[in-house]
Amino acid sequence: MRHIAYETIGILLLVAAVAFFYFSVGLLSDGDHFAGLLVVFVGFSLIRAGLEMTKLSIIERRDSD
Amino acid sequence: MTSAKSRQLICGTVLWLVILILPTFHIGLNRVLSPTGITFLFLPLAVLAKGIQSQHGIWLLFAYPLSLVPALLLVPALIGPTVYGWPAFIALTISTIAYVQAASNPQPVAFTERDKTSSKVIWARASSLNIVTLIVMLCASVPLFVMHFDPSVRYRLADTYGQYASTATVCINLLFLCLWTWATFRLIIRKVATFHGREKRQVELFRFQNQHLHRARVKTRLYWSLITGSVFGWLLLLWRTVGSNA
Repeated sequence: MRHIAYETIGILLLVAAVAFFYFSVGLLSDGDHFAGLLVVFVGFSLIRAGLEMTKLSIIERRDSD
Repeated sequence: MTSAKSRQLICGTVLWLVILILPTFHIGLNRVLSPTGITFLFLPLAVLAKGIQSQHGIWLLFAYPLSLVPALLLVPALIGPTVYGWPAFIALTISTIAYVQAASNPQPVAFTERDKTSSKVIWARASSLNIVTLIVMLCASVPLFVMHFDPSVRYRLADTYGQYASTATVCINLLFLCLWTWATFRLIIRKVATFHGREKRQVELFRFQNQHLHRARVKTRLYWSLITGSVFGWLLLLWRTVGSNA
């Protein structure tokens, strides 16, 4: 069952990354470019973390087979 | 024709209809009716046919989406604000996601001998690839959505570019899509697309199992991603705090 938790967390991280990209557009259009870029980098980090979580889910499932 | 090819044909045609044909009827046929306009309008179908015939990722994931661009550049009103309301934008997002899914055609990956015979296990593997493609396309739709529907962004574009605002919107959209496609193709889609050929699939599978599914490495990369994200988050908080105090 652990792989389901990993996969859920991974998807939540990816969804959170989408939210961060949304906030970044607002900040960039307000002219706060530095803050906008920082939010974009947080989004990229979350995407990366989400992908690694889904890989962990695959590893868990593979090892339990 | 195999089911994968039929799916690519249907999704590609729907995408062509949503991006080019329906807007053409909406803004009026006479704005597109010229030899160049007609050529650009039907060029994507030829590229799609070549892509389906060759089953090559470059044709399906790069050439076909790019072949939709000339018509949009010729008549920027095709993706203008009068065409794209909420329903049209949602239809465009769904049809784009469906096409990328069909074109990248993520094949079910078998990790063990038992997996090769268990359809349930095989499709569980394929679902991860589908989720990744879905999220990547959703991420791309957010900035485009904001650019079309956020009043402050629209006001800023109109203020900056004046009567060329709609052309500027098209160019910014295209620039963003090109960068996004290039980045996702390099980082994600290329890996998905390489699952087309059996030999490449075996090589990728071997590499994936040995390099990417190493638990310690995955955990290290996960921790580094979270640490990097936290550092950027703290920098953001610091920046906002300093900005509000100043």
